[in-house]
Amino acid sequence: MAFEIRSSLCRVCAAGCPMNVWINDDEIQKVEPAPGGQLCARGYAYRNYVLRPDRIRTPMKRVGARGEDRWQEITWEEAYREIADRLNRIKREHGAEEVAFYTGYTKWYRPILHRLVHSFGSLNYGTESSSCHMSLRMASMLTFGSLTMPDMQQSDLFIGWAYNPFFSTNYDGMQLEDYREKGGKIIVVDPKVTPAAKFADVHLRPLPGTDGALALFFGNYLIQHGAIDEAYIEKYVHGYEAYRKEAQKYKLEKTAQITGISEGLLLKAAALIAESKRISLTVSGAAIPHHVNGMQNIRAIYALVAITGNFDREGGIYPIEYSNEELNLKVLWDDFADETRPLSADGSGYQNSPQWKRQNPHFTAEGRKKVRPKIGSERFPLWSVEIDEFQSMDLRRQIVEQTPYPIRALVGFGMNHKMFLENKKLLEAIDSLDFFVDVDLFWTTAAKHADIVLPACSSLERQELVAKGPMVRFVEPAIKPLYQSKSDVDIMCELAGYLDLDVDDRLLKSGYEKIVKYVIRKIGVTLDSLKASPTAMRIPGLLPYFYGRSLADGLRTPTGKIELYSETIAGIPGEYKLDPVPTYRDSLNKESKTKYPLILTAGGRIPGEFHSRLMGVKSTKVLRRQAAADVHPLDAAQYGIRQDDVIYVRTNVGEIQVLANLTYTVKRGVVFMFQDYEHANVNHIIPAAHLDPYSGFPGYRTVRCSIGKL
Amino acid sequence: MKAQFTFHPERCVGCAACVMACINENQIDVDKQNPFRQLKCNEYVDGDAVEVTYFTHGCMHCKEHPCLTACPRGCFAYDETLGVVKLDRTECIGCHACARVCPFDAIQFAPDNKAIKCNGCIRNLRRDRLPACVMACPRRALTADEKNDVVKQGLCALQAELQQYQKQRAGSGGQKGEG
Repeated sequence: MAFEIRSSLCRVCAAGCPMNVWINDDEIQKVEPAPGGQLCARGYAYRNYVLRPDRIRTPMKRVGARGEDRWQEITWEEAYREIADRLNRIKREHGAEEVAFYTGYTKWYRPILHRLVHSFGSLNYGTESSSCHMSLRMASMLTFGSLTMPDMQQSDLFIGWAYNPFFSTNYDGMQLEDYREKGGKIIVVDPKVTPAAKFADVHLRPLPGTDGALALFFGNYLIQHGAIDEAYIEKYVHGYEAYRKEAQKYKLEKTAQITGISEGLLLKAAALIAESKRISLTVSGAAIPHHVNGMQNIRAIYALVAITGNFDREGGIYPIEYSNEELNLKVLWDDFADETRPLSADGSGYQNSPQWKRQNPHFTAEGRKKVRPKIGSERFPLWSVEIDEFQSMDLRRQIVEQTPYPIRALVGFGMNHKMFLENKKLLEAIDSLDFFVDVDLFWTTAAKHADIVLPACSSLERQELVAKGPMVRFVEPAIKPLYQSKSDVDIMCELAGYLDLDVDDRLLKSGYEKIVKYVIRKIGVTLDSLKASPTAMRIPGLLPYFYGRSLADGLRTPTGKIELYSETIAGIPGEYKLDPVPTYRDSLNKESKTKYPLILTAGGRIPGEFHSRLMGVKSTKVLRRQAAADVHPLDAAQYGIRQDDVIYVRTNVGEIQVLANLTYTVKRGVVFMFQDYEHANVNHIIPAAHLDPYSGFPGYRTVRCSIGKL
Repeated sequence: MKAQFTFHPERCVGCAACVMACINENQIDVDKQNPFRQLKCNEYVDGDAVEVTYFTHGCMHCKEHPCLTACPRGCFAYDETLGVVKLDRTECIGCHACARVCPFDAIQFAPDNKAIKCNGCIRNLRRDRLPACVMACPRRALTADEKNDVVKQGLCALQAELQQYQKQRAGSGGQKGEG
């Protein structure tokens, strides 16, 4: 018996925790964390994830009607030929832009897909990040010109805004504990009672989506009490006066009314912030952006760091992207996607982004193809400038309305339609396309609507370059790809060989190892040394960052300062009515309060699930046997609902049926529901137009609803 | 290395890593049986204040091991060296006497109506490795190899939580608040 422990990584989520796999005769026995590491509940389910019975086994061609689920096996060669025939014909007759490329989770191969789209001659590349993280990135970029990290251990006060690491990343949780033992103060802002809230000195439970008002109130309080850093503001902050006027509107009584937090507790939290000098802070990239004022709410939260002089200061928050290129020594994935980029013919979009311009000072338009602007640019102009993807929440409208131009084909990698609002309509729109190909590990509902389905493999079955901060690692396959599946990247590189590309992209066609060698060429490690190293390697020569460096160099914002008044937003035409200062407005949709008295909050992590990835794994169902909505017991009593009753959750666009789980952990008046259940598809009952005008993000977490016993 | 589990409810955050680690280690088919550790929680409400206690229960390999004396067929044995309460289910007649006396609701019955329970990952213990659930806990809420006179000391914290849970469940007539 050939027994071996092989080193690999978990890719349920983007954290990518190192994982050892016990193999017996090429069969997975079990998984365990790499020495010194941890796995979460999802990671421990990875064997069952990889062995999900609904894995796609071979390339398949549809023989029945769309969605009818009748298939014929075809070879990889046949699949590539047919896909290329269809896409090349659309490109020839209508232009490459009329093919949209979309990718769901995960993220590891994205720059390669992005380059493929560019080389094909289009900017129509979209991802599931249209509903996760990118709104946070926009707020960070507009304010600081960089994403940020909290310097928690050096701070006096840590504010965790929608922060519960115990249901997502275990490592962060341990950090919180060390911090508390050292005497650090903690404020947790979360409508739910979570394990992290147990560690808080003050736990604030605002009504969902009112975070902006809460943050502006804190800003106002700090200004009123002289707890701001005037010298810092003078030197480094742009638009303080405009911000101060906005914050002034959020007085105690009004804020208590908006947020549903008592005046006493608001004052207690405000006083704690005012008396703390070093303040670090983190904002969830999913929870806070999932309101239609989400992007602005995050900017209002970041303003607290700016006015107290805690950005780029010890014990505050620090940037991770820099103006100084010496500090940006990293795997060159961004450049890799950029190299074959065509330009938007009307000059709109990401090529105007201030940070992109700074990052690409030598970028030349010479020899670049001019193409039609990416789809969604007219509807979400701020997103379009800030983010190098189309806003995919606009995809259905785009397909149906065909403006400014039609989309005829869709190439999906891991398309999960359940992430979209009123998502059954997206499937109908997809059915109206000339051609849809989907690459996935599993037979998802979206895959069943495709013309051709290609089987991808999991992280245990492929090579992967893992780059995380200063650390780089190359992972070899732990087992051979199951069935006829292939690595997503191999599929992209091989498909590139069949497509009519505008750029003769030999590098892309040459395969993953050559691409990896190319993108690591400046970091001082070789592929051979990475392969020989059992653990991640540190990029040699990477200069250590010191506080204040970015402020001294000038930030990657239009003014080079922290922008509380965003010059980028000010540059968006007036008819879009986007405010350059972080204004607050109610995120609830405007439906009747009598008819829909409760607030539906869809999303949020539960242990053992991640999007829909583990839905087909039965072992994680021991944690929650069936789809259930969390309802406050007092709300339940009002509607005569008892534990485990079957209830409906209804909005103005639809209804789902689920079990009721009575719990005091949700706020009174709020119904919490995990997303991604196939038959309790909560996002389908959220109105499709319920989107943040700044970021295009879906307002998953603030929707009027009613509940009742069936 | 000895099993002899101790559970510290104040450290548990309900992340469920131990439960999934148990399934992973033992390749448990959850259609046929529950994992050997199960996660539950209790909610304590006082005005606006809500306190949630998470806990996982399963065989603690306790020194008292009442299952051993309750079993009419002598299926249970105590391994002094490894601190493991062992179960040989060959002679089991499915009388449930062991389950009735277990303070931790740790014994379940497979479709063949014979008792099954945690074996303390005895393979791991023999190689001086921790049981899977103990290794998985990111917060050391579940520990092994400590002095565990849990039952003799009176009502231990885990038992108290379990009884509170069962009381609530009886009151609501349904399953409550898992995960």
